[in-house]
Amino acid sequence: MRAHFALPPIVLVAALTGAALAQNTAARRAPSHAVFPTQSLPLRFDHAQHLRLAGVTCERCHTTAAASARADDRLVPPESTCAPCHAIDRAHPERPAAPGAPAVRCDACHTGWNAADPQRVARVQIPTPNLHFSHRAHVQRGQSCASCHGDLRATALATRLDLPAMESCTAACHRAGGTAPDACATCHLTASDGVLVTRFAEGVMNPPRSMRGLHHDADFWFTHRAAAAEDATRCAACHRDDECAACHDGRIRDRRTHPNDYLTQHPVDARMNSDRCTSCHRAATFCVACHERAGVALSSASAARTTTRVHPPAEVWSGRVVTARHHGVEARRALSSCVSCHTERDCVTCHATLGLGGAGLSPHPPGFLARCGSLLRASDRPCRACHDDVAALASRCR
Amino acid sequence: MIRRAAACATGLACVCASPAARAFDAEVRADTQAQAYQVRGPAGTPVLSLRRFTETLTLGAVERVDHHVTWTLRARLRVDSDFGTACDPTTDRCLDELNRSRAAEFAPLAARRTLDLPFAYLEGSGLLRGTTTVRLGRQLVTDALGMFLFDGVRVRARLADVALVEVYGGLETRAGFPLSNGRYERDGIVRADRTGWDPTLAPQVRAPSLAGAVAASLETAGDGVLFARATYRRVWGADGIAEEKLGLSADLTPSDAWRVWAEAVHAIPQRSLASLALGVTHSHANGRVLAFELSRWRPTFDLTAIWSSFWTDPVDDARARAELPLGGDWKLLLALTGRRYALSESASSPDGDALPDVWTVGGDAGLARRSLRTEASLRAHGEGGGLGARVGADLVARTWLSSLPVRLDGSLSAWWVDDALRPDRSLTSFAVVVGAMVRMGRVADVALNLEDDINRIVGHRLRAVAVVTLRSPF
Repeated sequence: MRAHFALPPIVLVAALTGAALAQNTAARRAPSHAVFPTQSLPLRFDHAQHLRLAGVTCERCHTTAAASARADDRLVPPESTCAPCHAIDRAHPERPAAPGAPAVRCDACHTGWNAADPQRVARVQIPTPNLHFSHRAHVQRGQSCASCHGDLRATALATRLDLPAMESCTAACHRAGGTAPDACATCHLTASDGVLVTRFAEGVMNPPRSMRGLHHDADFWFTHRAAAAEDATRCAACHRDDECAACHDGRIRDRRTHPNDYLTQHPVDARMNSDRCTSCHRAATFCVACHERAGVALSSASAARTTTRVHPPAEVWSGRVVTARHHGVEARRALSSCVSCHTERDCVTCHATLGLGGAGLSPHPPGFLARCGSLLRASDRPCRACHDDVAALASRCR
Repeated sequence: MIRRAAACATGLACVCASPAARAFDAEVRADTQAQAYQVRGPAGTPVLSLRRFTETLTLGAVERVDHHVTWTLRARLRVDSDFGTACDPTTDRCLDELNRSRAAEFAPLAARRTLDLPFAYLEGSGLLRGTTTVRLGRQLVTDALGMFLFDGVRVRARLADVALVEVYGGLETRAGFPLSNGRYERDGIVRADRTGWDPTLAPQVRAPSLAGAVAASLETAGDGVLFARATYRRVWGADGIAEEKLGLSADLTPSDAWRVWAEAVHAIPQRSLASLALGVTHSHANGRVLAFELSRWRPTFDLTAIWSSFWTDPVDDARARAELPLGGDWKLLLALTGRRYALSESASSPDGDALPDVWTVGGDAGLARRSLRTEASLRAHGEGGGLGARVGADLVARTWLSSLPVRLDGSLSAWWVDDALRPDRSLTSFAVVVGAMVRMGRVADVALNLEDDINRIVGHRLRAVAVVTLRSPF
């Protein structure tokens, strides 16, 4: 690669890397709505105020949390947990608390409480999280409440934002070589074949940005190649092989990739972006098969072959004067496009040496003799297609 | 292992089991796709009236033996049929494309029915105290060297929590073999099953031959800031080495906000860089994403094909993209792309001057909204330069009805295409797509799409696609 091409990206990458390393990354992420669905908490409660009181700990109110082994256990304290301190009187819910005593009225905690309908309060709704979780297992391993939920001594009402996001779990324990299992299925729900369930009524799971390019941003459909090429085993946690095969070896045109009426515009797109075609189509199979049948290919059956010239006029396309529209230049630029219609024989006819009946026009790049030895040693079949004396080539090629 | 395979097979035969979690689980999915559309040759004939019918059966079974060990069986079987014809509408005469005795009409790669196995493997993970995964059968590998399908064994093992080593080997899946298609072969060789063919018929089509493949890779383990992977693969057959490449990829993710990655593939016998890509992404906590990518690539072909020794020039790409949240569920996408065909890096001929580079520039602008029930997007794309131009937009919408398990799909398109090589093929195209999908509980989806493409060359071209998906438990 030439230096003028390589230098700018290297400088850019180095600068951005430095900036990235220098920045503060301590910002806390909110947990996924797909994992912890939206809650309804019509409550007025101050954790900080309670935790300042002598003898009040998390376990004092959340009495069942330490023994809970399921994510769907209800761990919000019931009224009976509050009653020892708050002298709640359901018969007289409007009666104020004595001076200096803890609040007792319903609306002290239940927002929207209506004295005209004193026995009803808005329900606390905490949907079951879409994951496996055992408080007991974590407590038994010495985890404190704060290690996952943070320090609630500065928090009033705890919400789903005080539930742990995945990054905090993986950073602390659930990682390769960590103290807890790092398999996704340890916490996430799986389908019957072991693949993670990612779609829920409340939302769709998306890998966090900390997971090396796996976060599916809006352009991920067009950029996922890099993530898959880097570490496809991670994709397999959520995606089955058939999802890859459905597109990359599919039988129905995918409209996310190809616009409507793509058949009409595909020649121009392929000419400009043949590399993108090859991610799902093999020219010598998919393209050739259709081009032969449609009469576009030189190897099409004679009864199917089109009478319309596909390429520019012969004097431009194959003449002695090489311009940007010469077939040799087009081949240099996008050889895959040639392969989508032509077979080897089409090229050999002219490019073979005189001894094999060709015109001896070399298709090789300048300086080819200096590196053709390794190609010849890899396979001499292509050499034999055009050269009648491969043994002589072997002595010339380095 | 045989006992495990037998257990999986037995389980698959009993897919009437309940969906409740248990040590052994299985899932079966059947997809039926039917589509009908036309393809016209550039002169108007022949007209290929394609009526394709594809039936796919996908199986998945898993048995969790203990805390570490899991055995998984996955397989996909596909029958692809094409009942279409190639006819001249002016004479109503249809070509006898499958008749090998009529060389003037024979289409060697056309087939009424193909049966293939896109993958079928048994995998044991968590073996040897959770360190090793072994996969046996037909399997697809994806890495920096691209996608590769082979029949064989793959072993992936963790080494002391700092590295992972992966080794695989077997036979490459090639077109022309039973239950195979050549989708993932390197380009350049046309293969088909020539059994019963006259040797002089369609000589451009070669019979398949066995090709061995071995590969090894080493990568960093864990979720550290830096990830790196090196992969070597070699494929060889009766005609010599078909591929020998070394791939390197690296990823630096120092925070949630920044990601820098690089990827390179070296084609060893060609002694050239097949591809090099660099990218940097910044993701803001508010959902804004900015990314910049650079790449250089050069097409590579099967080393046993003549194309592998042809003169090809590198192609350089630069792409900047941004994703901007607009509030609610709306997002704005913007991208700019520049491409250089680096013809000037080599002389046009040993005694000639260098040709100038060919440039194309392009851009994308998209507006997308995605919620649980509704997706809508407007995506415009334009690119042009010395090779022609393509400018257009697709408006796509899909929404679930609130009272019925029915999703409505719709799409409108307008595209202008300038074909610089064949100006007579330049045109403006319009298209409309309407469709619906009915979800029948957890068991079945039935979808139908109708597309009408309108342009001056084809007039109206209709395309109909119907898809039926069935899932276990039945």
